[in-house]
Amino acid sequence: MATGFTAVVALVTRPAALAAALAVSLVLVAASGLTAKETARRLAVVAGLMSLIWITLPLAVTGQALFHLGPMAFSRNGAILALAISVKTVVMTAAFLAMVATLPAHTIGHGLERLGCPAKLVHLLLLAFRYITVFEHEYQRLVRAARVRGFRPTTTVHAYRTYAYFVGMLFVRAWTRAERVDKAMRCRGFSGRFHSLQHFSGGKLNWVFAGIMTGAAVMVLSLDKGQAWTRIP
Amino acid sequence: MDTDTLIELEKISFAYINGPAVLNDLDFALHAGQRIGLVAPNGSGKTTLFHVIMGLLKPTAGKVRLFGQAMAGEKDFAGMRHRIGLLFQDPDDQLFCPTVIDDVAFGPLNLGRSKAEAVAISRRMLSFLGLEGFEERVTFKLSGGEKRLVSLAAVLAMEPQALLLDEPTSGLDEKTKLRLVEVLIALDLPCLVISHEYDFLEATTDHITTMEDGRILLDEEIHFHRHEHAHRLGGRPHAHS
Repeated sequence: MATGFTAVVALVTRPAALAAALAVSLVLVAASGLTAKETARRLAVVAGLMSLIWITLPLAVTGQALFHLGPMAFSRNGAILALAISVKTVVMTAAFLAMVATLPAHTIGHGLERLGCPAKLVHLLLLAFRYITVFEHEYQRLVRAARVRGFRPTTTVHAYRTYAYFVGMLFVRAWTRAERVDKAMRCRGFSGRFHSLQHFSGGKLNWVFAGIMTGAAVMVLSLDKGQAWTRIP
Repeated sequence: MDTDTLIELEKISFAYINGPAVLNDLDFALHAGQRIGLVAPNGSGKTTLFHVIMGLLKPTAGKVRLFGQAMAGEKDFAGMRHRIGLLFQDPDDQLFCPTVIDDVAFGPLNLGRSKAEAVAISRRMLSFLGLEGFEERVTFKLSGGEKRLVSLAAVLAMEPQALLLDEPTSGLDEKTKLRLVEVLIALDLPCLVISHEYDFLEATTDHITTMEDGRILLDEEIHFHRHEHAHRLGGRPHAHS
């Protein structure tokens, strides 16, 4: 549902449609029980990327100039494009935060499997989720081991070399860990297929939600009429 | 050949690539009803031995027979693995599913059990190990002792006829260790246990052996003994001349 909604948002270009999409995603965030602080913290990560767009697009797109900075002209079209992309990004991120990021990883994995997502991708997701903390622990162990022997992160060749050792060790450990996990799985009869214990049924509430979301997406699409906000010449 | 030989190794040799021989002409047999402890220095090839028995490592020479059948390759081992439960040294290697119940049910599901059966077996094993209510816990958030017991539940859910335990007590506190001793005694399965803890082996096995130069020593070559110790380090395996 989240993917479908974001796909629609990615396609629309008119301001009314974008405003409606923004409203929908704000409602979703509010309904998901995420606090404003959490949402803002997660959106801040995206803001860093968007600032790049704000710098480059007005310079790259030609058209009527908003203002000049020395020999460089910042175009109005570029700024509008950047604004449109920013709004879309916020809408999509917020929608994903509310609908997907609030789910436990294994629910996402099994849900994807039931929806027909390739099994290999699902395994990758589930195993990555399971072992990311193990690697985090291994990294912390390496850092601690270095710190108790007086290592301090500085901008010296010695420090960079030490960090390179950390990365190398992490790769080696990840590799041997993967081999051991594979052995453990084979010992328990694994033959390439995960059997899931969970049952997901299209419960009534799910269908109602799917209906509402489809309605919201159609509404956003129907507002996407008339004069385009901007067009790249 | 007698039918109660569960595991039989004949003249097994193994070396890692570009490494020295780890196992060297090793002979070993585990019979029904036997519970054997294996004490040997680090790096003497104990874990390698377990992995050869399970067909996870291919010996450079020698024969493996499980339950009287010669094992020729991965296909033979794949059909036999569920009859021998291997408990890994590091539970993090063994617990790869997100939740406890997923992990314990993983083996039974692979063996073709229905979901209902797999869940029933898993719950029975968890409650046998005193882990009721752990079903929906997330595996990587468990404590070290809990991880160990859950991985044992996962092994037992396959309903193995013999156990290979690779340092089952490492990192466990005294209470969890005692729990493990109770569980192993209650199970009464034939087993081969690697451990450095003499007290633990004394409580869970009937017989202790060791490895030297890539071989398992025969009874007459060993000088382990059981008696009350009054001197220091008496709890460790040692020899009196």
